[in-house]
Amino acid sequence: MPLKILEYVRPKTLEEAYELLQKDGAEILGGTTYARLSNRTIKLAIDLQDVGISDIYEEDDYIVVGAMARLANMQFHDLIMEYANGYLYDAISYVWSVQLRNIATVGGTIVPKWGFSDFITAVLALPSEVEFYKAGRMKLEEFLENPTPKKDIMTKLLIKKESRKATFKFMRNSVYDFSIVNVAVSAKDENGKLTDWRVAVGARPGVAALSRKAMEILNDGYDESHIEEATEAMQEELNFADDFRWSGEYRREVAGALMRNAISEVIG
Amino acid sequence: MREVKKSVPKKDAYGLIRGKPVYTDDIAPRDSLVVKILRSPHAFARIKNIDASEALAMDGVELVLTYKDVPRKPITRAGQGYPEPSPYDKFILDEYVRYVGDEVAAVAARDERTAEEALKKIKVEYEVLEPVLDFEKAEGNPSVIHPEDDIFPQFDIGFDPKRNIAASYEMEIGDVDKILEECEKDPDCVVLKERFYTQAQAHVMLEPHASFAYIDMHGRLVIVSSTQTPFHVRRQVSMVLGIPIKNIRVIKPRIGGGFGGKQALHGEMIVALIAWKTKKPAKLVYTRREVFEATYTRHPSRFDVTLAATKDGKLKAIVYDVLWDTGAYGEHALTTLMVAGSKTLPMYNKVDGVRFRGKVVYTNHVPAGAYRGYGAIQANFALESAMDMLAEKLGIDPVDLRLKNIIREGETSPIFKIMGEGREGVEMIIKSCKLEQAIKRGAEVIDWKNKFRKREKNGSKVRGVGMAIAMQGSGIANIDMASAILKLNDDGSFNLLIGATDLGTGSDTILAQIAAEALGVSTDDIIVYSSDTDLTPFDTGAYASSTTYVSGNAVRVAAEKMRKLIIEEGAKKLGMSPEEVEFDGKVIRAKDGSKEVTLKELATVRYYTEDQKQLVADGSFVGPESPPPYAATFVEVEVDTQTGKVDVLRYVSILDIGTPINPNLARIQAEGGAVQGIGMALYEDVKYSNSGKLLTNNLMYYKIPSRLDVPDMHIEFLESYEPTGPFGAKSVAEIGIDTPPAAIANAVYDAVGARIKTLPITPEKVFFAMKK
Amino acid sequence: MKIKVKINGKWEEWEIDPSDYLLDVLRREGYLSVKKACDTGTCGACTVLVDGFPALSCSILAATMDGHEITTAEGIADEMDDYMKALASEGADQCGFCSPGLMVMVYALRKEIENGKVKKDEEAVKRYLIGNLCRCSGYLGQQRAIFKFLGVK
Repeated sequence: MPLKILEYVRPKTLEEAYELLQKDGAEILGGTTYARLSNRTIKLAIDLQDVGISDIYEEDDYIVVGAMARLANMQFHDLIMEYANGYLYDAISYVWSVQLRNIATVGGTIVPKWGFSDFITAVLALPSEVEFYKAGRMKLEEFLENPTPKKDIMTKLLIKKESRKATFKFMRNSVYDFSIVNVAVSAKDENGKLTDWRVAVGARPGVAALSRKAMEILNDGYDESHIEEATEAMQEELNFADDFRWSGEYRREVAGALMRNAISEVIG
Repeated sequence: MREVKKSVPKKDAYGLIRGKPVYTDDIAPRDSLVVKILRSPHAFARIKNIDASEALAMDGVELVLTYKDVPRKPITRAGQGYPEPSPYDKFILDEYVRYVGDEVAAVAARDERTAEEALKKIKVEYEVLEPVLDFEKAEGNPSVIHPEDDIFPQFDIGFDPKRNIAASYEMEIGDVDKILEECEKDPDCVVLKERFYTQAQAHVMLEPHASFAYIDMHGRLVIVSSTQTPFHVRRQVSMVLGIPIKNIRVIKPRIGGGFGGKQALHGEMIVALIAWKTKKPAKLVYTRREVFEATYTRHPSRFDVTLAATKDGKLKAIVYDVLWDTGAYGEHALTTLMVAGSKTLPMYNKVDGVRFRGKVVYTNHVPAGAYRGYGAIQANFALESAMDMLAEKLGIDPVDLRLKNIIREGETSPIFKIMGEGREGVEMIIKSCKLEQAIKRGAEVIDWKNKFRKREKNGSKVRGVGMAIAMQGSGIANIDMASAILKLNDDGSFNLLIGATDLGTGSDTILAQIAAEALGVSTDDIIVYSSDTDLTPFDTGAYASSTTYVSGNAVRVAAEKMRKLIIEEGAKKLGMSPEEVEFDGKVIRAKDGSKEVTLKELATVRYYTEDQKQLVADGSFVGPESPPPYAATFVEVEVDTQTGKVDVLRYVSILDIGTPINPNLARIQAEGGAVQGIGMALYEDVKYSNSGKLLTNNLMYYKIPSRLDVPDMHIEFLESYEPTGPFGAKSVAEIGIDTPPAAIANAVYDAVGARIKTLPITPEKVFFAMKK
Repeated sequence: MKIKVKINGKWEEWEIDPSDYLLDVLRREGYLSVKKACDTGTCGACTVLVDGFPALSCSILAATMDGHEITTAEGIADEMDDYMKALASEGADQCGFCSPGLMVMVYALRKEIENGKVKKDEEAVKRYLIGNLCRCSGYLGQQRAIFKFLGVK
């Protein structure tokens, strides 16, 4: 039995949407792409396409991506294509298919904290924040590590604009599949010196997480021995588990290889 | 040859590409009742109580069927010639459910939503039974999957359901034990014993199984179905529902692929019964999940191969011990098992001894059935991997080892006579076989000499090459029968009426080309109508690589008769004897040039004014033998030692298919088959939960190759002519699929020394095998 | 509920249920080129253009389409003669079930190449079309036709 929706509304403002959301059984429609697979009833489905949170623009030191922006809109936006040498453009280009990226929204991808997501891993490796209508702004890692704000609406993804070098790596068997594991690494480029390293690993199969120990080690230095130490620290710090397709042990091993490759690419 | 060996576009191409509504669900009456099936959540259970009263009481629900409402008549759903070699072990609906997905009840309602709601209202109380989920523990298991006493085979197939055995087969040529014993002792001999496993590959034809049925103005039952075997469907439905064959019509419209998965009843019995009972049209379209969980898979196998050979590479004995998992029902059980032997063992026909022992066991898995390759691909993976291992053991190049032992033109193999499909086969001297040339050419194209065991490294990636050879058949000898009717129209065009079943392969077009070639006319002047049991003559259906060879020969016979008729009638019109005239496809003229009449003029006068009659000719054909097509495949892979990921860089396959009637369509068959074989080799993993539920039940988790997974391919057809085939043709449908698993496994070994003996060759398996 | 959509250039009003997916509504309204094949947003047989961009109609709630423009294979076939010829002359249409969805994608791809968003090379074309599965052809025949149609060298 597919998804059942009793009532559908398309509010004009965020305020109106937020009020509707407070009703019993009300839910925000994300990109609707994965909803089809669920077998539930939504009493009141709230479609945010008209509330004005689909734009992508620059504000202060951030690239702001509206939660209702489609992954494809984000991928091809000049701000994204220029950022970190097209890093996010590349990462998004491997998300499933063109037809899906034209439907899937940024908010619809981030809010459910999909474990299989390549997108979340890629963004998490950048200093980024999410903004909710009531709960306000929080770092992406805080959002991922804590319970999702209830009955709230994600409005924006904010990516800090700075000079960064970043690489996204994934392992798949068929190219057209979910990643078995994925790794994103970035560092701030301060006149050639790499600082503020970020290492995100996703599809473990849990949702992407930062390896803070690895980041600490890399901030200390990024020669061969630091890279090796950081990789081992990541493999130890993060949880890798089995699902019915791949083993946690295999994911851990491959994540190590991907991380080493990603770091060498960032160093260049 | 003017009309064959020619890449004519498919006759239905433009309609299909534009998206014309031509598939079963597209043409179902808009007011059809929508049928949905309640499926078992248990791998094995008995229905203690089932109460559909609440569902039946719902507004919009027309009918609910449970096992209490249907005739209890055992049948096999396998679409095979009668009497079928598959056991009659299935009921329309039964008190027992034998896998997660087995049918419990059927609901017919005015729309999909109502039907789905009604499914939830059916109350079922199950007595959950202990399932058999490990096929290696099925035989003699205390859980008996088919305890009922009213099931039976049509003839001896080694059926022993009380021991969970659906079929078994044994044969031996020579004293194999003695050969092995002597070989073990002989320092100039080696014996190799290896065990392999293959998975339950899914067909994933893009169109899910669909059928609808209605009662026509004469009160007859009409079934429209995406089936590969309309005539078998008619016979089977007649048998199970007790409706005479004369009161049933089965039509196959355009269908969205089959690959063997539609060589069976899937839904037809249910829609037929609902239409028959309600007198309203009823349709059943499977969801993709139902296609995965409740239709067919390839038979998973455990394959023990023993090879004995002299140190200089002469094979002395081949021994197969095979265990086959048929899942809950024994469809195609014996025949796929036997094909594992009959379509691989003759390749090495110079051995002193051959033994085949196989058992097909019931388990509580999704039933296995026909799938392109039909047992041969499982055996090919085992045999051709083992040959590679033997070559290494002997220190002989695998190419040379094949060349020393393969079958050649003019030779035979005792296997042809001993092993048929479900019964004895027929003797056959091989009249066309370019296997040797195929191996040599393939080795040249891939540059084998410079690549084998060179293990070229590029960073963390290592390259390797591997090869495998294969044979298949062209229809089932002495069993598959096809027929055709040609009818001349008053403009000189022809209707070609054939029972043959185009699955999207283009067989309608190919058969038109054969008719055109034999008549000497243009393919454009052949109008094809196929696969309608009322309007087209009998054909066993599209399976066993039969259509071009068997149906093609029937068409050739009909066309030759028609040509003779035209010459006779033309001569009569000209007042001459048939010997005095000739026909060039347009004009019948006196050989001395004195008189002529065009075909159009002749056809018009025969319709309207002179010696009026319909010119019509028929042809039937049953293959006295089944000439094998052959393939030699070479692959180059690159293995990433950091992850175990295998990329196929280059795929070279050299084929002997006789004359390709339509080279483009033959190429697509070879390429499409190869990609399905690559899928089985690398991507298509099948996982069940501990309680027997199929987990890889959608296309997100069950990965067929995408276009970025497909390597650069070199497909080449060797000049070959099969004298028994229509214009020299053999078959091409299945031969392409057989070689990829072994060729890729051998290439992975060549690259990184990891021998993967369980399909699919996933990166995880390669990674951990490399670590060992 | 009622929605208004511009379908193949003409406005229509459809009565739908809020739970209906666009694919099912399109088929119900007679746009039968749109095929239901996988139910999980993977195979691409249900691809249509929404406001000019290819999208999976199996994964879009019909209700969200109110006021939008939808184009199906029926709406573009007359502009795709050369493509159809190229595919047919390779014999790559095969069973045809994936063909209309693929044609919609190739139509969109041609525009993206013209707009400079997708490179005119083999790899980029394959990447763009990865969401269109085919089980008959092994893709190569399709690609020979598509490369020819797009002028990919």
